[in-house]
Amino acid sequence: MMDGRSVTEQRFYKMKIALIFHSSLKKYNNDVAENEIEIPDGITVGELISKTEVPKAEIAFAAVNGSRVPLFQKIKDGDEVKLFQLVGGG
Amino acid sequence: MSIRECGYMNNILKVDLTTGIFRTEKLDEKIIPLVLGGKGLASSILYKELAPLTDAYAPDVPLIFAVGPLTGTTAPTAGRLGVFTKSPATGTILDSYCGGFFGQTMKWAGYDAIIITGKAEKPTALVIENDKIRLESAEEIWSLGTMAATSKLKEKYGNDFKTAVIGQAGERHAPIAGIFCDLRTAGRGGAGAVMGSKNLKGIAIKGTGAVTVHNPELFQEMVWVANRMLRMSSQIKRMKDHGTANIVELINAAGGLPTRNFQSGQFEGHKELWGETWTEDYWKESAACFGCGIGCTKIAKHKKLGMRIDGPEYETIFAVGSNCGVTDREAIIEVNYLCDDYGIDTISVGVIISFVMELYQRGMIKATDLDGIEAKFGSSEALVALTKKICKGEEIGQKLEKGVREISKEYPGSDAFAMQVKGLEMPGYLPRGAKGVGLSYAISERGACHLHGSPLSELMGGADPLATSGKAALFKMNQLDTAVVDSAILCYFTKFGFTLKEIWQMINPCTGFKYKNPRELEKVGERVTTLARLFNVREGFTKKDDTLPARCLSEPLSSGPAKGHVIDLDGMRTEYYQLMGWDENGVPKKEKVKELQLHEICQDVIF
Repeated sequence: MMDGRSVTEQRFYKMKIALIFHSSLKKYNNDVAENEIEIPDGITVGELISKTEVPKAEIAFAAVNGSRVPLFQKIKDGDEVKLFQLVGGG
Repeated sequence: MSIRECGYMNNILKVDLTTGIFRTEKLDEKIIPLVLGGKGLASSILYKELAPLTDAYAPDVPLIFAVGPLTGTTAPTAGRLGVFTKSPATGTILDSYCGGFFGQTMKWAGYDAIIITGKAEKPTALVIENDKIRLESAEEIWSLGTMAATSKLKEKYGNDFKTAVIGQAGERHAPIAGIFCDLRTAGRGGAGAVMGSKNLKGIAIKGTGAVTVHNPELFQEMVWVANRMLRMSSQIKRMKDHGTANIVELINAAGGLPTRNFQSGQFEGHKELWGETWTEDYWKESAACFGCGIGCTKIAKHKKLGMRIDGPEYETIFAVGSNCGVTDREAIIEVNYLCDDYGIDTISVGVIISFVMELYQRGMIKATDLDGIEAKFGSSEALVALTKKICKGEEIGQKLEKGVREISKEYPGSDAFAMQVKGLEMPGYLPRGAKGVGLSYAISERGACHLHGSPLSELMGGADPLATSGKAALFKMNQLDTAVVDSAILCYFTKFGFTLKEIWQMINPCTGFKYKNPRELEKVGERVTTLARLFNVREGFTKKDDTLPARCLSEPLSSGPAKGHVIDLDGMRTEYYQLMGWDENGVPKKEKVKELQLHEICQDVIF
């Protein structure tokens, strides 16, 4: 997902996080459920989502370290970000 | 064309257990297009035939089994059954539903509704084989659990009979008793206790008829569309793969998983309760109700004791799992099994036990008050031991089976964390984690109910869960849609695949009614919802009853995505009343009653 970045861009990729695709959302990540990736400092959850292939309409919400967060939340080094698909049940 | 050829059997069976007299009545063809069937039909019968303020256990109280125009057709989930009466737990109108195979069998036997009144002298079984009806002694199965009673009825009458039975809890009128239909349960609100008060242990029914629809070709086409929408839904696939509990992880992340008697919305042991975890360790078999392509039923087997259960469902997993602080899945299976066999609602049992655990945590109750049980949060031993007491109604169980509202009366101040509305224990979504959930629990006619609102869609971000703005309109929309689903009757889970539009597309060719668009069908939902409200108003329920425990209103959450939040109910409730055309006290205005053409049923309101 973040291949092909320029040398300039690479200077800003300072944080390592785990990005997890819940359930069927992994189909948008070559069927891989979890990646450890590097991202730029100061990136928000919403910006991270826009860098993935997952259609926004298919995402229920994003959680950081197990709790739902708003899209404007900034991600920190070492965070675990999980994108949840819509579910049914109850 | 007769209504008989338009999705209805045009037949209501009335059984008086006191006299042993049966009779049948035709449907009122003026009323049916207004209320559709199921909940709408049963609510109109209850409003007209039950005198106000009658005790729920009085023989006069009708216990109604009702189906809708789609029941028994090829529509998806068309086997669902509705049970309707006055709730002994709340004193409100009660609607409770279950899947399985009873609904379509009842329709094929020739009935849109079975109305049972009176009280049999001795334990009795109602046996229906198409138009042959008889009452037989049930003394040999009285005091048996639901599983043994079901087996005995099938042994006696044949495996092609479907059954609805009560367990020992219903026999002794515990207000948390449900009605069990081949292990699917109309669990909430105490319908099983009403059945027990009539000395009716069970119903065995066989139907060999069929349902005729108005326009079979168009109907089949629309059924095909609806089934395709279900198949295409990734939400439905989640349920097929990991049962109703597939949502545990998401609900926990959203801060909506009730934990330790609704003290918080996130449980540190949630991973043990995920659908995926159950699939890996327990769910090796699946099942489906009649006509259902979803197939959300999972079957678990206790590894040590060998008992098999359908489930556990999400609601059971929250109630006796996170809400009691328990991760021991063997204990959850055992509790589920005990509740099923004694005939009890697992939601109420879990919330009762979690309430006792909080009393214990606060030092308001001691082990010596609980027959020696150390009721610590997280103790699976205490969970199982208290469940056994409640199931048997013995010792402390006699007190606990009355529900948290009654128990709290003995412990001053504990009503603040007795998690109930109108006497019904809360289901599995934390109200402070999603404000619209709080509104729906406060308003829903049978008490705290998760089915009329949209807890999951709210927690998934369909609307900002922490906002109050717009929640009245959201609740109203879902409530009216749900009333249509309950009158049609279909399973709620179809909502994860299709909308009111697809239901409308099936209803018109099924019934021949000419609802111009889905919104016109939604008007049926508004009418049915208002009718149920009018029943409750007549019983004395108003705004003062549309409220929540103090925990929800004034105790800020200490952690999770909703940290610091309480529910500001007043504004949402006032807006909801306005949207529904109800006055500031929650009473439907006469002009709204007239606009909805309810004057045919509710003559006392207008004339």
